[in-house]
Amino acid sequence: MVSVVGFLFATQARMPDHLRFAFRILTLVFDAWPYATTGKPFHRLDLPRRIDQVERWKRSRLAFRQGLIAFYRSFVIFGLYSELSKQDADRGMRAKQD
Amino acid sequence: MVAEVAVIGSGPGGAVTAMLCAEAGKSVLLVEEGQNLPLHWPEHFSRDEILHKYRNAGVNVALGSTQIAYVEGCCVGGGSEVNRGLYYRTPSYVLDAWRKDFDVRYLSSDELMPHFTECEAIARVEYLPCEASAISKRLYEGAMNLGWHAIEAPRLYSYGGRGGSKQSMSETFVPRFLKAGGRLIADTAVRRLSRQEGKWRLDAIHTPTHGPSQTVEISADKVFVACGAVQTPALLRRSGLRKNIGNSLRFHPMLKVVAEFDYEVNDPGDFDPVHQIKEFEPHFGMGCSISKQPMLALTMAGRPDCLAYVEHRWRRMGIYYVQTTGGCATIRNLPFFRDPLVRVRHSEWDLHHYAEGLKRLSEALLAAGAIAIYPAAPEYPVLRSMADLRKLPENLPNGSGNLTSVHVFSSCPMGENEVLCATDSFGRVREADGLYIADASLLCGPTIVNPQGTVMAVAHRNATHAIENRFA
Ligand SMILES: Cc1cc2nc3c(=O)[nH]c(=O)nc-3n(C[C@H](O)[C@H](O)[C@H](O)COP(=O)(O)OP(=O)(O)OC[C@H]3O[C@@H](n4cnc5c(N)ncnc54)[C@H](O)[C@@H]3O)c2cc1C
Repeated sequence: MVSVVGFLFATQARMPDHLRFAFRILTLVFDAWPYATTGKPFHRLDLPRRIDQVERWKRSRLAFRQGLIAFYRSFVIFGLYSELSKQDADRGMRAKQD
Repeated sequence: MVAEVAVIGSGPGGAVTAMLCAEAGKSVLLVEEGQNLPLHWPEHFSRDEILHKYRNAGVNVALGSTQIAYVEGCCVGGGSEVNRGLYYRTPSYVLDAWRKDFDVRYLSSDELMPHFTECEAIARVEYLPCEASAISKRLYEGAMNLGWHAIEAPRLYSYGGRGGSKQSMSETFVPRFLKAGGRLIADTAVRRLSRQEGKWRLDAIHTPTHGPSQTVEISADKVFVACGAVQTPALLRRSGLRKNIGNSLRFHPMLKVVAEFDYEVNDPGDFDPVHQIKEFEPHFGMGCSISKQPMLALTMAGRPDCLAYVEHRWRRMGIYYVQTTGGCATIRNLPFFRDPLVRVRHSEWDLHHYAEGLKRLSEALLAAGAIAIYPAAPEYPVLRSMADLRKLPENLPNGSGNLTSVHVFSSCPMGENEVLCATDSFGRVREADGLYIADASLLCGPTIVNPQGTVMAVAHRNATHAIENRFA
């Protein structure tokens, strides 16, 4: 079984190569974005600041910013809930067979 | 490697074609880019399935002002391994239009019927032997309350035995192909076709899960390309064949909603939902989706404030869709990139039908007793009453996200109309000796109903024709 982060990396590695190229660049831009104001990249920010940046990009009027967040959000959510659902399905099947 | 016939792609089109050629006594090589995995592993609709059986981990987008995210299978059996197998024969009005507009010869319902029945004898089609799930019945009851036409769809599924078994290609046509002496080579992507000394040469890359990639050369007298409606034109265009190839990709784009009821409808042990509303076809149809927690969460992903709600209330929720025929796309290869670029355009008519379909679907769900409807398109509000529906826009706003499609076709239509068609009426590529197309690319337009039955029957018809005519 792969972790959610592993799932994200695996998804990114398999996406169409022209999209992957664009996403890699966008992800680097996203990470470097707070540098000018805080002197730190995104992955070094504390949690409230990270949430703040995600919210700003999500609400941005620039489609590429929204698109990046929507992509990560969808795959993180799917990855997380996949495991929950498996447990529920197993319980459901067992209950039906009892 | 040498064969009389090479079939590229083992989805419904390729598997049916390969089996018929092998049973006709030809030496056949079936080449598949994806892995050869058991039907039941990875678990259906799991993230491992997405990684192992879907092309590009399910991340494919037709780019445009209104985009369509689409998915395709990539494993032995192609889309049939990951789909729900909802099954239909092609409506006769669809075939009539194809004959009229594309001049496809010998394609009436009567002429296609023997091919449907022969495919159905190998991949069984059955109705649910028990009551449908509550999610499914809600849609049907909503339609009945409004006096709309709705039905229960059969599936490519054998319900006998514990849990039953999906009638995917890896369970049906591929085993028969192997029994007839056919050879299957998985993990092998054909990159280019060329003609050399009267034979076809296929340049491929074999990439086993463990171990380094290696190049493979295949030589064959006849080649059937069945890579699916996006990869077939990409491969042909890479090989220098372009006439009417990759100019007319069509979809069945879906808009999804989550409907919430005030009682439990979602039981994880239920069979997949099967009811569909037919009242508005051919403009749009409606149905129920798999509503497991990850799918619910994904459909609600544009409304993050609702996610906690899903976690507590998901047993009262189901996912429903309206499916139209909007969008027409081109497929083009880009220099230095492997994957093709797909670009889609929509007309005002398309945008109107998306919006109208969403309203009608919501109407059916309210009539079924839904207390809230959450459209996947985040720019739409939560809908709780008919008054809310009346306030919705006439057209889907341009640039609206969340159109998805699991059906792609028509990128290389068949027929005698040389202005529109890539092949003759039986899938033979014009001006290329011994080269055929054998998959969903050939369909002249949307099937309106679920397409796999049509893909199989058309492949069966065309392969039978080629064999009977000794590939002349
Ligand atoms: C999630 C999902 C749900 C669906 N639900 C339904 C449903 O309920 N009912 C229904 O009727 N239809 C359904 N469909 C659609 C149906 O599965 C397709 O119409 C059908 O699979 C198309 O068959 P095909 O042979 O054209 O192509 P595919 O099934 O796409 O097969 C093409 C194969 O070719 C391989 N390939 C591609 N390029 C190369 C290459 N260069 N070299 C070697 N191999 C290559 C691919 O890996 C793939 O395995 C669904 C599809 C999906 C993805």
